Amino acid sequence: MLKQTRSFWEDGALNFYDEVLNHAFKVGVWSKCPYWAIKCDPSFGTIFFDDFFDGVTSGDKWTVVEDADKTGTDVVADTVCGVYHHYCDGDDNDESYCATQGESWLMATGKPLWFETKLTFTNSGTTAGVFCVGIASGGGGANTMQDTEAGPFANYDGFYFYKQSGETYISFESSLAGAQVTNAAFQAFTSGDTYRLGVYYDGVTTITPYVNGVAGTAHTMATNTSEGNAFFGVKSNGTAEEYLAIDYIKIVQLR
Amino acid sequence: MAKQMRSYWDGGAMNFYDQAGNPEFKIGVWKTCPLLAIECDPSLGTIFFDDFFDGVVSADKWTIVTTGGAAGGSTVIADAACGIYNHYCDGDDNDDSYCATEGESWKLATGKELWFESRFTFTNSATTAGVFVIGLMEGAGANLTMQDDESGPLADYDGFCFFKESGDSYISFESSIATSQTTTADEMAFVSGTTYKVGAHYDGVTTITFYLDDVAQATAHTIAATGGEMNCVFGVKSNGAEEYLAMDYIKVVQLR
Repeated sequence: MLKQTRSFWEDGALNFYDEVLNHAFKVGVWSKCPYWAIKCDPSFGTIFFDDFFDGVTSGDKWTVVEDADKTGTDVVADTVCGVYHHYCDGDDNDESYCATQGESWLMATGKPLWFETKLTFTNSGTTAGVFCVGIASGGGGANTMQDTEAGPFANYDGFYFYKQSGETYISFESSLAGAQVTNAAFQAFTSGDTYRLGVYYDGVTTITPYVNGVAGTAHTMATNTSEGNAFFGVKSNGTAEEYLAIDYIKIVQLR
Repeated sequence: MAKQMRSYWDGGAMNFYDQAGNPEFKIGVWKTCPLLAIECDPSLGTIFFDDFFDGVVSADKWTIVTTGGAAGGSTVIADAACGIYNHYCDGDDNDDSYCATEGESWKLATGKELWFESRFTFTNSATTAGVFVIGLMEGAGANLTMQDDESGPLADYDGFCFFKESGDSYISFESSIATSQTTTADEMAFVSGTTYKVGAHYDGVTTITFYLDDVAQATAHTIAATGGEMNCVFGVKSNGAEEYLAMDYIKVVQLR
């Protein structure tokens, strides 16, 4: 299969991409990331990446917080690319989250950050179920998505992508303490579709969400005061157990 | 935030760095490392890197060896940017705790160039108190990797380490073949709570150059090819109070 690897400069960052297989790279979240400078010198930045070939074991990379009694099996699925299925129990407001062990990211001046995840949420019934993914202080703890469709935490630093039961769209929210900015209809949602959700924080005051490699409406966000966990999870609205199929999560930040 | 990525050649190796955000790359330990070539073909070399986003679980990447009682401090990925692991020892005199890689996976051998760097913070319990060690050492991680009562690193090992003893106001660098050690004791001043990058480059012939915050120190060590393979190790030791090391990252690259 013919490939066309090319170099690409944007905002002073040099990257490589494939013009045949991945020409959307040039407009996506990674186009401005100085990834190769970080690979060549780890003191310049951090790279967190989980491609989910390994299981999610509580107490290692991810910590699981959940309500009991689910019957679905959290497992690396027999499917290409390394895809992890994460379930919650099916009682109303039962939930299950995976969070990094530490709050290892802080959106601060001079510390640009790039985030992307690829996921599929196949809900149990039309518009049923809740999922979320992002970076937030306390992210992945109980009620990361509040009960009864009350949205993300009321007070946190960071950002979420999420869908609540009854909704036919994915929302994007950024937050500094108790002040949230929410794009409620950021992206139309179809059960079973795979989405790439990304964020670029510029290290100044702008945080830009991406979906499937295309930038959406940016938010203004001042320097955070609290570090955040990376997290993802699902919550039931009582219809049935729900699960999120996670393909990867990658986060790059200047150190 | 504007970046200025550039390519840079040194020692025949091409790398990328950011002239605006990381200009010191051109003098640091990684400037001669063919990392990109290894990333493109793993048969050229090995890359070991822990950025400490994950926990340190005994018998996984790291094996923990602790003497004395359990520390009161929490060995945990801290709530701090960049992935920081806090590793504690108990506070009785000569109690210690080390993390070592499961295998002795590196060797200073002819033609096997090696690059090492770690970034960490040691905030000691009191002025000049406490002991820490970081490096590549044969047999490391066992009890007495740092000997009791300020007697320095192992008396018999192959490899090198950066260390501070209680009472020292500097970081020492030592290289060793068996019982023959060369120690540079006073080129790198130590201040409690300051974050340091320490690095070492073995040229695959007979020279180890050590770095502090990207600056090659004046005294390079001469070392013959070693007979023993080495663990990667870090740890702390008490001289009467709990101590902890806050590890940001460790990276080791070696030609295969």
